[in-house]
Amino acid sequence: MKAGLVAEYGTPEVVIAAVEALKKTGLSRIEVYSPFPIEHLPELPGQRRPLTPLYALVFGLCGAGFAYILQWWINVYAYPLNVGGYPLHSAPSFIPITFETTILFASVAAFLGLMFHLRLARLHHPLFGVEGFERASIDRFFLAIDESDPRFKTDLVARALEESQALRVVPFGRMS
Amino acid sequence: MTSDVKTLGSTLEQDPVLIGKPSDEQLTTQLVSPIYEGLFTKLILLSALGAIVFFTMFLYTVFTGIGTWGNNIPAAWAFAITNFVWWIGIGHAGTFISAFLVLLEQKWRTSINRFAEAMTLFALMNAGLYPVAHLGRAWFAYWLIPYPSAMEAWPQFRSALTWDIAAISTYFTVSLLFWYLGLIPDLAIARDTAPTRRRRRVYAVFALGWTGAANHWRWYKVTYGILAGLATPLVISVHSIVSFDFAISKLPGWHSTIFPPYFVAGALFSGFAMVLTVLIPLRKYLKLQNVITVRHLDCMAMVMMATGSIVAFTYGLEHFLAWYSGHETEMYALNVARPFGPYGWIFWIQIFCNVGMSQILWIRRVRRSPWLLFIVSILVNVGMWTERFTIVVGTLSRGFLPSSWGDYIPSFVDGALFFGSLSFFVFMFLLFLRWVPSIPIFELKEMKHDLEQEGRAR
Repeated sequence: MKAGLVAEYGTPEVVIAAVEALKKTGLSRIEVYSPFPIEHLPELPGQRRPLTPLYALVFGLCGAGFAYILQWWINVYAYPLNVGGYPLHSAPSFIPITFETTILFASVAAFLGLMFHLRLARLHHPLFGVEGFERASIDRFFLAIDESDPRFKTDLVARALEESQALRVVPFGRMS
Repeated sequence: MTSDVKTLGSTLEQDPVLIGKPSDEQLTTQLVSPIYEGLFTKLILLSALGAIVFFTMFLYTVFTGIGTWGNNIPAAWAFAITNFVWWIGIGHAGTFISAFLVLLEQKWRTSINRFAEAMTLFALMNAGLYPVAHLGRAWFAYWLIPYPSAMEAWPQFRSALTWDIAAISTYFTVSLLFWYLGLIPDLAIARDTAPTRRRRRVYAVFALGWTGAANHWRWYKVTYGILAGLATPLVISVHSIVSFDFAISKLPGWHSTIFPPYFVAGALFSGFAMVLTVLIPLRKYLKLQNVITVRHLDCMAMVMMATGSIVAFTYGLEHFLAWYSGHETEMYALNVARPFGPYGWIFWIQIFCNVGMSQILWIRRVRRSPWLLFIVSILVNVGMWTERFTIVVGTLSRGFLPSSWGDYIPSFVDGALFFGSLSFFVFMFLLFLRWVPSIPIFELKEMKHDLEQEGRAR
């Protein structure tokens, strides 16, 4: 979302209706902004399924392998120490750390993966320039269409948005 | 299927989780405005004094040595380990409320989860400092982490100490990530509502540029669920590992397979008590009765009743197993020294607080009266501290050989560290309340819309 048109709505139900109507027109670069996740929002075109569970799984398994192999290598080869006659490779004793490291790697990977995919930790967003967009975190719902959309024509989109019971329709970003 | 469950839920007589019908804007203003009012200035300064005492005593111990404490052989562990286990246990309720209950889709967790998670973080900060001071040479604490050192010496992973390091550092990191992730949308609210430009900028940095895009919410919810799913077994593993500190040793009263579940139940019991201790006065002071209702108090009291009953059952089991084992030392340590030894009075406080107070919660009126519940929660905090004291000092002072029995008397530094750490906890918590939205605002708004939709569907 760099530049385009944004419409403001008062309730989640109206946004849902607006999204359904706009999807029928074939517009694809649509995004909805809301103060909380909207249940039953139709799938927006071109959005990816969240990958963070996959990251958690892959990195969790890596963490498990890393922790177990490290403990085994340290206690069997790097620094063997006889403690109470227990075997150097005492698998049960290695489990707690292996488990903790699994969780640590999985959680950190899920968190950082989220930050990476959402391109977060940014200070500005073109929509922040829209007056009144603050209410997107309080009680208003916004629907934005980017001008890079192949079917984007300012007057047509503006009319479609106005017909969808928008409270107002305004441009955002530096439109070409 | 879901609709069946909902109708079933609605036929039961339950108090609402949200009183009144505030608009989204009213709800936002009510919950976010306390952070613009500069709350608790005097209390923060007062508790800062206590925190200074804590860190002074900590540094005094580090520079002088742990001879400043009352511990000595045979009671080599005392206040420090008691406090460590107590604080860690308190932390567990936060993760339990935020992670376990999110997986169970419990609506009553919504208003209280951020409180509880913040409590976890501050309790862990306290807990983590005790073992470090207890090392005696705290500046070598990093030796416990495996790193390629020039000495070519490595940690020894058959020791519970290394497990503790892994468990607590993981627990703190994951709790922090989970707490912060939950906080991002609310920091965005603060960014958008703060009265001054400077404050807006500060909150904007911490909000990471959150816009509330639908795609972001989708990823966010999935990731939050993943972290909840990871934190749930984590919380159980952490206190199990803490219990291994005791259980893998051979001392009477410690060497027991019931320790992990016993400790986990005790941790949740004490943690929920601490949540209530903090929550009840605050709910009144910040006038949050509409979002933290009697229903929330009732539910938390019921969790305390359940976990407290597990704890009470385990007490019985401990003494029974000691007798059933037929082992002379075990029988003496648990069934004679504990109730009638030098620390017998502490044991009876423990029984009164933990068994008595968990069973009093069967009475509906107690569960629903904030002030009675507040008193119960204080007593449970005391009780759980005495439980850990009884386990740590009670066992160490009466070991296998009567010739090496010896009592423990806390020193001034022991006491100052304990009260100092309480102040430090209060200090951190007040700072949190002053600067951070303490009730998850976006989650409440989402829940409100869900409830409204349910209402309309009916």
